[in-house]
Amino acid sequence: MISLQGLEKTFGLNRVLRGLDLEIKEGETITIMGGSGAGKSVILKHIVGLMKPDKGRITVKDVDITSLKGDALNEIQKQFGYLFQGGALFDSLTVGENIAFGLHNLRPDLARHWKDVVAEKLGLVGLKPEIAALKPAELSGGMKKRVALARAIAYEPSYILYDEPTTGLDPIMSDVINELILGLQKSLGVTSIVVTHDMTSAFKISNRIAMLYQGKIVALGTSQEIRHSTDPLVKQFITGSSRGPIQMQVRAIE
Amino acid sequence: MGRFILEVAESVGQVALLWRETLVSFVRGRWEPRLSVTQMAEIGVSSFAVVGLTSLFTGMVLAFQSGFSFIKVFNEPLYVGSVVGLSLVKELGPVLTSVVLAGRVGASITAELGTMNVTEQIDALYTLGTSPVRYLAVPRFIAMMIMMPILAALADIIGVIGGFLVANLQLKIASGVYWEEVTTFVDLNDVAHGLIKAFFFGLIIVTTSCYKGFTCSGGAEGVGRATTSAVVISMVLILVGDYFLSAFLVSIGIGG
Repeated sequence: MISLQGLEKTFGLNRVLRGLDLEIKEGETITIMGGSGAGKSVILKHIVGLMKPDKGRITVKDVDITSLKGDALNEIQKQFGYLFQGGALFDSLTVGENIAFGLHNLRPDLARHWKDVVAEKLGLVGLKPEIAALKPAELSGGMKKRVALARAIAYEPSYILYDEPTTGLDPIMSDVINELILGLQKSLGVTSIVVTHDMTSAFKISNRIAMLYQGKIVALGTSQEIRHSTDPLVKQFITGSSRGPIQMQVRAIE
Repeated sequence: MGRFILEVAESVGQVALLWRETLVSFVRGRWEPRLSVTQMAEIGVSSFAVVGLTSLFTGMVLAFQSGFSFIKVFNEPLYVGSVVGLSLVKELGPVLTSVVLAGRVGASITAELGTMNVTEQIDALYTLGTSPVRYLAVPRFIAMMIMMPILAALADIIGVIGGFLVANLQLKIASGVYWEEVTTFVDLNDVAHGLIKAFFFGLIIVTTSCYKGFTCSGGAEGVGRATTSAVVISMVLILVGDYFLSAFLVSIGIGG
């Protein structure tokens, strides 16, 4: 279980998280939805230790990781796979080297057979093993996302964090990614935390959905509950209307 | 003004942290020689041509200017070898080499790390269990601090040869005279003075460019801005630092 308690984070004048509480259960797929710049990615970065909260606590399986550093934090990070928004593949390395990158440090036992691991994970994301020799620049957007996903699962983490997995993809490729997320869920039994503003995707893949607004979780429920929610904030967001209680600010500073 | 001081203080603190992490990784042996060798080739070998060319012509113009100035005063080109040798070995060799490297290598380090930063590749390194400092900064620090004095030494030699060409062919100074002037006035102490400075200029360049790369934000525009400011800051620090470093080295008896 991952538990976020009273997280606060401010960048300059921008109070992104304002006492955020959220519990993520083992084995579930939870989606955090919210507007652009609402701080969804910031939450993921806190969970994995890339950012430290100004206030609050983060625990992973009852271990407080808030102030962990160095090797101790590294130990925790082994449990997380992170799919970055743009893929964040290393340009200078081949696809295969990208996928195998984490093995040496995180799973030395798998590192010896890294070529097999690469082929296996490429298969899991529906790509042919031949592309292992390509450079990321030679791939299309959808393929990059899939390779990045293969990299995130290469060392067999128990949590996968998805930062806007379908953003920038066409609807069909988005659905392919949704299917992959569902498939990985079934085959690996991992816990997934997804941040997105793609509602089609959120309803398809999630067990639970949380809505982030003004630095707090303002609604939390199963996909069905959220879909039929009468909360005006949630309703406005899932129908994608510019009219309602959520007023998008031109600048995210108040 | 207060804000500026705060920003400078923050940068100094972050640079200190970067140095500490680099040093700790280095001392604990947590660095890959393979990456350092790649960087040495990148920084050193491929900079050699441009460093060689600049120092060759610097040596030539030094001989030319000093030669004709001395002809005006003394009616003959005296001490050309010593002017060329001393200026190159103590000042121009290390300073010009590091200015060239700040432009060539410093800019590319900042642009590369900056792009990795804004495309979240640095975050990705971290989530894959690799410290970005260990993987990206340490090899560049090692490569820069080894290659910088070597390049400066080569620049000294090529520059003195350039001076010789002009002295011998244009000013008609006998080669024995030129080389005697060089070797009489330039001793190992002067060479050490120049190379120690080169080492510290290398440190300035690699620190500034790594720091700017790691801290840049704001997409392609941010990378552009970080790159420009890395080059400008490196050059200013090199030229200002040169004076203080020279004064310090002379005061402890190196190259007086």
